[in-house]
Amino acid sequence: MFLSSVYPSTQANLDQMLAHWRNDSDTMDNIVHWSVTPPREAQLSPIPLGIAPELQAALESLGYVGLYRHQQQAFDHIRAGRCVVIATSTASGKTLCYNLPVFDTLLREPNARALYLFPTKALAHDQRETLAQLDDHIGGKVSIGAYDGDTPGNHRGVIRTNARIVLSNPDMVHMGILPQHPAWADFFRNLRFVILDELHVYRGVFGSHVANVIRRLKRVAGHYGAYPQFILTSATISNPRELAERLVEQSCELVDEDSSPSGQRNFLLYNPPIVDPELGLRRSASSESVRLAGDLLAYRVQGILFARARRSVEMVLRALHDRYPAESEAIHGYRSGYLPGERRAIERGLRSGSIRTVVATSALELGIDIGSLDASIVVGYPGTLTSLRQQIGRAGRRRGTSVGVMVASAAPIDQYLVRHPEYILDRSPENALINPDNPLILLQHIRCASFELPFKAGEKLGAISWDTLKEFLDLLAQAGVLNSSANRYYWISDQYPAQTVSLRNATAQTIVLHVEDDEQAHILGTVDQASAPWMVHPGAIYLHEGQSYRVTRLDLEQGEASLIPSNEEYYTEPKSQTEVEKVSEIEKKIVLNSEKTWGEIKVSTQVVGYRKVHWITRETLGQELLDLPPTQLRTTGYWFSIDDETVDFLRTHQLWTNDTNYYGPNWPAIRQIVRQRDQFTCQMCGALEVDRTHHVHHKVPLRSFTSLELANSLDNLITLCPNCHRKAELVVRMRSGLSGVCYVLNQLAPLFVMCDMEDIGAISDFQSPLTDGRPTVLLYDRIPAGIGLSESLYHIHERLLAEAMELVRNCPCQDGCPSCVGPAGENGAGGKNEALALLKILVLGQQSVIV
Amino acid sequence: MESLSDKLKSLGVQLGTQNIKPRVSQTRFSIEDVVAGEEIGTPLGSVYQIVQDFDIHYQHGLVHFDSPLNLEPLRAWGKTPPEKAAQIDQLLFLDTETTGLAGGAGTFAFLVGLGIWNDNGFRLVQLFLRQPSEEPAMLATLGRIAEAFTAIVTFNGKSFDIPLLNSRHLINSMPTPFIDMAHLDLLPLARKLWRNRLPSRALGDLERDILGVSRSGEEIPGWMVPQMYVEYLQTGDARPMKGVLYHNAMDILSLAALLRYDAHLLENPQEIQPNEGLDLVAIAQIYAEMGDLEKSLNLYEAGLQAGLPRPIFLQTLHRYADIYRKQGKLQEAAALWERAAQYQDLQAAIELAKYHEHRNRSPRDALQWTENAMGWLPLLPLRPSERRYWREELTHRQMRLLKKIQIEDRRNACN
Repeated sequence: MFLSSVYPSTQANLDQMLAHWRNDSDTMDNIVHWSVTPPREAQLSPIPLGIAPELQAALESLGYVGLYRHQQQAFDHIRAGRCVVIATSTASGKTLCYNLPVFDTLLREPNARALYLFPTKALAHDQRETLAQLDDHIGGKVSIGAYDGDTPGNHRGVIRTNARIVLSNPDMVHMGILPQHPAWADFFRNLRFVILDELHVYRGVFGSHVANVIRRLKRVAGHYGAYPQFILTSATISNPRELAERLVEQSCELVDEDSSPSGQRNFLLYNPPIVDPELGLRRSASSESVRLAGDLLAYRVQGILFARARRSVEMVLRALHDRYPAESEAIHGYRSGYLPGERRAIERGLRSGSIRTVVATSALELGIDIGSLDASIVVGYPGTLTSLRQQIGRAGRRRGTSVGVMVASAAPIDQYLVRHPEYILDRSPENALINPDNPLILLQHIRCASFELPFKAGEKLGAISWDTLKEFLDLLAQAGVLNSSANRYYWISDQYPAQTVSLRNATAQTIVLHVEDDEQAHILGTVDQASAPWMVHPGAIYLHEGQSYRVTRLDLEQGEASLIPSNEEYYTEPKSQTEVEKVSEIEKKIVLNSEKTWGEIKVSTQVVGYRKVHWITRETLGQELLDLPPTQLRTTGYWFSIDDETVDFLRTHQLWTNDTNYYGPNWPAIRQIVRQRDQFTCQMCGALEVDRTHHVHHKVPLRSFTSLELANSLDNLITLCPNCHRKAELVVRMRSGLSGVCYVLNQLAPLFVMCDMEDIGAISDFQSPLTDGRPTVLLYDRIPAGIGLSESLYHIHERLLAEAMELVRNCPCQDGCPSCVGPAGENGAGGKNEALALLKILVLGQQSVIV
Repeated sequence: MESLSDKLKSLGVQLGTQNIKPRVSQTRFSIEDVVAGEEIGTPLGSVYQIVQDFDIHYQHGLVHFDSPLNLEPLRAWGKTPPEKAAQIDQLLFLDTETTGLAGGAGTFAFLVGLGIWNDNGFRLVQLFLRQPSEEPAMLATLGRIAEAFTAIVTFNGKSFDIPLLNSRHLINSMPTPFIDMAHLDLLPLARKLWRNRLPSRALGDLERDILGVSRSGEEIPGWMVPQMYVEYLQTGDARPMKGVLYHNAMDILSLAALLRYDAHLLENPQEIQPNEGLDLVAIAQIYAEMGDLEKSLNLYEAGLQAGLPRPIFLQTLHRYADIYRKQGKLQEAAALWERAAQYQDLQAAIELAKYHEHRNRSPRDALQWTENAMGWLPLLPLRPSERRYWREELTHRQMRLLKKIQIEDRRNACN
């Protein structure tokens, strides 16, 4: 492991394959970006002086002649007692950045201890093997133990008292270590280092919980007189230092200049060709990736494919096996559920060259050591740019050429990125956000902290002041859980609070997801009760670790849902009716032709149905109704409204030319019937027809229907005088423009604030109560009390709109498609022209839309 | 400004304000009103101490506090260093009442009951937290009292009370007084003694079944105790604490009585329980483990004579025989195996086969026993895997013995 994994180099083959691609129009025509990064030499520093002699000897025997500059920088900072966050890329030797100083200290101070935290048990166990090897080389002086849910009961006592390095994860610290800290007294007394690996994973709700676990950890350590140094490693996000400092509430030094060597790297963006220009449909990303993978096999280039869902992995594997049966042995899948033995077997196969293509879900990007390969193909944008960069980063040897390809899917973000490759190559624009002071989350951890040590008057919990803390403690005392006497708060309940706190949910009220499949019933996980109606409504397709499930039953009262593994062709999108109420405005500002605000809101959502969307073509396959109760969500949101002047402007300038819609061959006759039924009177203002005939207006726009007959049914038609018709049309246009803008902003927002699509809700309202009845678009955090997403979006509002405008403007579709403003034909959505016009007005001003 | 409570409520949090009894209208009953005690002052605050003295002639159930006492067998069983538990006045008896059984840092002892022997008799000391903030003072007082003793006696204290108190010392940043003290936990002994004879080895049940004690109506069952303390803290009404104190006091008295009883039983089992065969053989096993084989043999014999249920009877014969075997007295062992064989005990038959083959050099007798056993097989209720095992073992032995006999016969014929 210490020497870079030595895989058979297939240098010449790769060069030939790249030359082939350049000359093959089937491939080259779809490559929208090809950049080459020149090779980079390592920048070495000498091994630091004065490290423990056993360690010096170990490094020499392992073949080290020096350290990479960033490893030496990290070492120096840590030696000087500072906290450090190391944010260099994959396979740059981050582990040695902390192992070296930790081992050095542990060798000099016979009682010193260190705690290594990883997001998963699998990572911790893999690291244990690595550490054991290092320990072997120094003569077995540092005992190492993993302490987590898998640790057998009879090992736990020994690890507590003897292990100098304890490997664990935040859940175990929260549930099994801190509440039992007296059994760890010696460990805490001598705790010198806490290592947090994969920092970027600690964002959103999970990150906010972990920040509080760290507050509790520091508090308990402080009780035993220890103030450990924090060392964090991260993948490249745009704000590693900020996230680290928020997580550990201490100032951190940043080491982010990668001095490890790398060969020439080719980065390609591949956009599958359009097969249906009107609907804007493209060939699927999976099938194009299979084609490219075939080239890898043909040219005997070792590579890895990353697919988003286990379904896709299986599909791609099957397609590859079908098409290249002779190579079946060399093609392998990889997913998170594998046992260590199976993982080792695949790693060995890659090293020996017997396995040439691995197809994986993103589970692989979390550190498991397969070293580096020649090629990486990422099938569809994996959800965050950080993940994308890590997956692309799997291709790249220390020497020699490598190639990383992202194959875009039809999703708007993918289509956006193929036009903006600089986002992928340069610093990622995603900020990882956490809000440790979210009151719901904070309350749960104050409870746990009270269990661990009684709070005394004047104490703080991390950065939480005594005044704030006291409010929570008094509440808990009122609830009978704490007893307040002589300025202290004692835990007097007989419950174990850590048990009811899940670090991945915002509230303690959760729905348990039960899976019944062929083998046996098991529990998949939990979701917040508030999110349950739209995440796991009956009929919903739910994705977990790359595998899809269909929900067969949801019982909100019992807090359970039943799911079965699913192989359906579609995913589901819930349709809900929402009502929004403003609670407070925190900040507002007038911007071009509008006003933006962020503040607290209450959203009442009722999921009334869902639609099934084909997950390759994104067509709507069907719709179903649901009967679920509404849920209340109090959270933060950001909204902007079109000002009155602009609405007038739109009205008077008749911006949108009258559509020459085709209403069918019977249209003249239908018009006649309707006008007659309505007695030739405008149904809005009452005016009788005088010189010209009145218009006949579709209440629900024509484009929302799948058939002319339905669109032209008499109860959808109404007689209006030309003026009123214009007004009504305006409303329809505005509505559809607003909802188109809402759709595209919702799709793009995760690009700027690092979160999943499910974490942000979006609502457009032509007459919004938030803004005294003005047309408004609202984006909000889908987590109670908010996590900072909408506040962040408020601050980048102008940029967000500008990017959205560009995306819509450049989209080749005619009237709206899933890749820009939403599929045409939806009730109120579509309306590409209207959405674009609105965006132009908000970004460039009114002149930009005057014809 | 919206209150935190309202904000949390609108975020969907239920803080579970259960029915908290109104403090306002009732008069508070402090512990001082309810039970006589004194406030002990320490540099860390004060704690409430209740003392009760029992004179030397006190009788708790069947146990007389003035009976002659030899601690030696009990001390030897507990592997306690002799200098630490030679006299009863070196022992500190201890039992706690806590705020729960969940364990972890959030549970504390609100009542520590201590028992001390002196020339006048038995003194019961109870340290009670009127408020949780008095804990440091309680621990300091406990430490001061404990200084005079070299050993603690508890019931399940090794798993529960002492680790809990040690944790509380760590949380209060105070050194624990128990570190150099020996610890005699009477629960493991109770299990060894009465695993087979009694349905439960809980202190309350032993109290009734062994010591002959019954508690008054004041008694509060153990599982209710944590909740009652919490309610006392919330309401200020200490009257229910009377029952809790009684419960704890009885626990300490029974612990003291049980120690005396156990000591007598180990020293003179045939006098204390001449008719309890199960007790006698349990003690025989204890002595065998301590290495006193003579005593063990006598007790096994006495146990057999007193009468035992069948499975224990057979087990006893084997254990008894094993001791003889250890001493090299194989004939005596064989006699016991033969007794067991009367009940179709397969293991006994095998032992006899081995005995006859190797000691008596009589393979024919060995074969006889083997074949007897094979004859029992179909009659015995065995699991299929057991049946297979015995059949294989016996068949194998039979084949081997037949061969041996054949060779012997041939040799005899040649001579």
